[in-house]
Amino acid sequence: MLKSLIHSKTGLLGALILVFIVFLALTANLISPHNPFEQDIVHKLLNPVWTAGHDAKYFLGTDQLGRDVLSRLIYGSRVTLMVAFSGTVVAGIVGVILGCISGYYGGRIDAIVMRIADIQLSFPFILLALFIAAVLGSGLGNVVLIAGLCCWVQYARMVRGEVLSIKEIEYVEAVRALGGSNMRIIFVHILPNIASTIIVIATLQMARIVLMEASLSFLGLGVPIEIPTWGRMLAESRVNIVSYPWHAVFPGVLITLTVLGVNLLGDWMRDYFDPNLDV
Amino acid sequence: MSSNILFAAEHIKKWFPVKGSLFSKEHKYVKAVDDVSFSLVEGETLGIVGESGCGKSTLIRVLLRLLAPTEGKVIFAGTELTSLGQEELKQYRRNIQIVFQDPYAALNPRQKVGAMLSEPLIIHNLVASKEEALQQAANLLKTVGLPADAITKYPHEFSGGQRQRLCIARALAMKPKLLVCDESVSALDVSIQAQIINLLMKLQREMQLTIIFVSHDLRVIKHIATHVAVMYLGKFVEYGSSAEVFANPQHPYTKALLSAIPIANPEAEKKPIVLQGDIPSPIDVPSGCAFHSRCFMNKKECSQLAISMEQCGQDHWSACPFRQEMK
Amino acid sequence: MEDKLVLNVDNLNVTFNTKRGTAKAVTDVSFTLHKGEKLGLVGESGCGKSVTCKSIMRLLPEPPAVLKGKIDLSGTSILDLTEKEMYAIRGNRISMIFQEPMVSLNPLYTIGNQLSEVITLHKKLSKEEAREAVIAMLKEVGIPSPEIRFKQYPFELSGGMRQRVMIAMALLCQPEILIADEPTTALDVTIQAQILDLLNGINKKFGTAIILITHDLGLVAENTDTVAVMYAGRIVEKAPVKQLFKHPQHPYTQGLLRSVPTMQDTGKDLPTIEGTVPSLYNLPKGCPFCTRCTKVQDKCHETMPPATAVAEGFVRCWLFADEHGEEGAEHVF
Repeated sequence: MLKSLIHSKTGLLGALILVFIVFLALTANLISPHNPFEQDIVHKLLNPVWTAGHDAKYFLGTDQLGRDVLSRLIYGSRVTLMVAFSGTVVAGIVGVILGCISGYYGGRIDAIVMRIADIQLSFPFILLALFIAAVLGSGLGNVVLIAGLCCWVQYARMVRGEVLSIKEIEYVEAVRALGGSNMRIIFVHILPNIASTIIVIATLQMARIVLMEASLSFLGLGVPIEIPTWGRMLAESRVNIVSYPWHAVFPGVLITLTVLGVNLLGDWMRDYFDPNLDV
Repeated sequence: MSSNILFAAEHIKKWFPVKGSLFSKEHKYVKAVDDVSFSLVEGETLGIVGESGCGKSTLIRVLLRLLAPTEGKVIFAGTELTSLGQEELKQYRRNIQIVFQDPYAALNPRQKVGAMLSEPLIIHNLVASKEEALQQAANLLKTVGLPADAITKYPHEFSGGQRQRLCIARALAMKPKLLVCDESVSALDVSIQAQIINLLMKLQREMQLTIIFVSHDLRVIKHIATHVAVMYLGKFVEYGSSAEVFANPQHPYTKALLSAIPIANPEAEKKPIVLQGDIPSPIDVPSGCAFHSRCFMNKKECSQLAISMEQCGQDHWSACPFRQEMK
Repeated sequence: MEDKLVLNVDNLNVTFNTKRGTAKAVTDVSFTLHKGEKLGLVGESGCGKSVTCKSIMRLLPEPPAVLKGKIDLSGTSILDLTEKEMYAIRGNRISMIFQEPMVSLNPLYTIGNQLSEVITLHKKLSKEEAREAVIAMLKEVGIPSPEIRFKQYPFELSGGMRQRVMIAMALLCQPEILIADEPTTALDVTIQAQILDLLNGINKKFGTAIILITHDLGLVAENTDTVAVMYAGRIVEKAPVKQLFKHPQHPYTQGLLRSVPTMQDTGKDLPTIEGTVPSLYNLPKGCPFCTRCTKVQDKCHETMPPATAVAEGFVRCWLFADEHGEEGAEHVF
């Protein structure tokens, strides 16, 4: 598998990006030059080292409360990764299960699930986020919950469509003729064949969730206010963006990079798991 | 008749309702299978011949209980299958297996051969461990003429003919008594077809299999079947021993089919009966004898008569009341 | 039989450059086709019969396909034409019908629309003239009530009807050659008989040369004048149909004819050709059939035998040729 990854230029790039981000997250407390929470009002709103108005002590500058931008970026990777993966997993599990049941059993269950999906989709995610924040408060868990609630529908719909077509294929009939149970058919025969679809959706959703977290933090609905997240850094940079544009660039670049990495790796993974392709 | 009747179908009907429009009160049905009966003695090979839309695939699925019949009974070794519960039905499945037409769709592309062949054994608890299952899988591969190292491979690494062998191996894993082949050689090249036909015949001898072979190719049927049933729009129009039916067809449709077979001999004298028109849809089956709309005899009474199979020979039945007048 | 020569294929070589290597789909294929002649191209999957015909129509994507050799259509050199020039050839001087009539017609347009499109592309006709020509052709191919069918969509027609429509589409501009690629494989036996009847009628009436691609030897026996047997990209034998079936020369042809179940022998094992077709990426140095031939000799593995004239046909086999062979035997027959 590794060999194939190395061969694929785009897949390798995606993997390297993600490895880099994970590395940042894991070693945050070792490599950060400063404490991301420590405020130094005297040295607030400094620019990166290569521009005017900088201080060599703070490589990428400081924000409006004098906190080191570089350290906050590094620590910010933790939240981003956590939210991205957890949200994807939650949405994925719920979506795939519901999609499978809906597609396989059809009938009333299918109708009910699809109607719930329709209702879910027509709900603007901001409204949902506000509602949940009002009822359950804010925090990491709730961000994951919101991500899960908003993103399961895409999985469910795609999975349902695929299940509908796969369950009519001869190899599924053959297992039925052998006496295989519905559970066996779903887990051994249907799910592995829709794995590549699920992976594609997962990469798209992961990207979406990263951006979602950014928006929520932007609106103050995400994780507690002192925890650095890239989204929040983007939000906070808005106030001074005309005079201090660099503070928006770095979190923006990192978000973009993460999304890109996820998509590239996802593309490679989907191709790799397709037994018909010669990857 | 015989006491060793292994399998019997009695008045099987399978009608699929067609959803009418909001305003029509008419209930239309796709009469896929419309009153089919036959019985099979152990060791026989029944060939079911028919063209598209005749219902042979639906019939197979009803016989295998992949579909429930609208009416009628399916009886295996004295037990009526239509009355069985879930668990008993699962047991029954060990006795009758199927090999499908398309070897590319009949194998899960994400399942290795070893797992695929072990699956039936695991489902029915016939082995104590995974290793034992794989051992049996290797034996199965040998029976169908494939190398044992196929166990670790994926289906896409095999050719069409080899995949069909894998399908046959899977079907035989539980040592069934009855094997149903649904156009199992139709998608294969001629020389590969010959290999698979030979394999099936060899396995039949070695494992005392009873076979139902569905095909549209009369040449293949003649080669391997002991009995033939000709199917048209959901009904059997002729049934009997292979030798009799082919030597002396007693139904105009059978005659037309036989005459349409391309003969690999440019000097052969052939007077093909070219049927006019298309095969009618099973939703709108012509009245009386379903074949009358294309029959070269088509007498006035044909659209009104109630048709049933009449015995016309020692092991030969036909649904055409005017068979004596066929030229 | 000094009929006009409509097609002369001379040493056609088609290779595909892919990630896995170079596949030699067609190697040194040469044959001729005369006006009104019915040629059968027989062989099993991967033998190159479809690729050969698609090359004649330049329907293969080039790259990855690489075509070498000469294809002469009544004086026009096909391989020298640009894509734009090919537009005037396809559907006009050569037409092709395919195996699956279900997918060969666009489901979103009416039959009339699609057929009119073909004829107005090549001939300057008004909408009314095109409609008349189309309806006349629909009648010619045996479609009842053609005026009504003109306005119908493909899904409203049966498989047999759709194939007739395809044939009508192919014949609208009165091509010199009609290529039929497995036209009846997806159809029932009784419908198959109708379609072949129709093709034979067209051939007699209009003098259209037909290339019939099929794996069904019975069809070939009944509906062709000449047969070319292909294996792994090469023509191994070509002869008039009676000669091929009565006195097949090449071991592959013999094996193929023997493995077809006939209505005669029942119950016995069918003779088979052991082994499988070699991969087109990795063909043997000599004759591609050497890995399965029961009469194989040493030199079969080394060199491809040349074409040798046998009665009214030719065969590529060391059993018949000596080192000198007969250059150009395939161009004579």
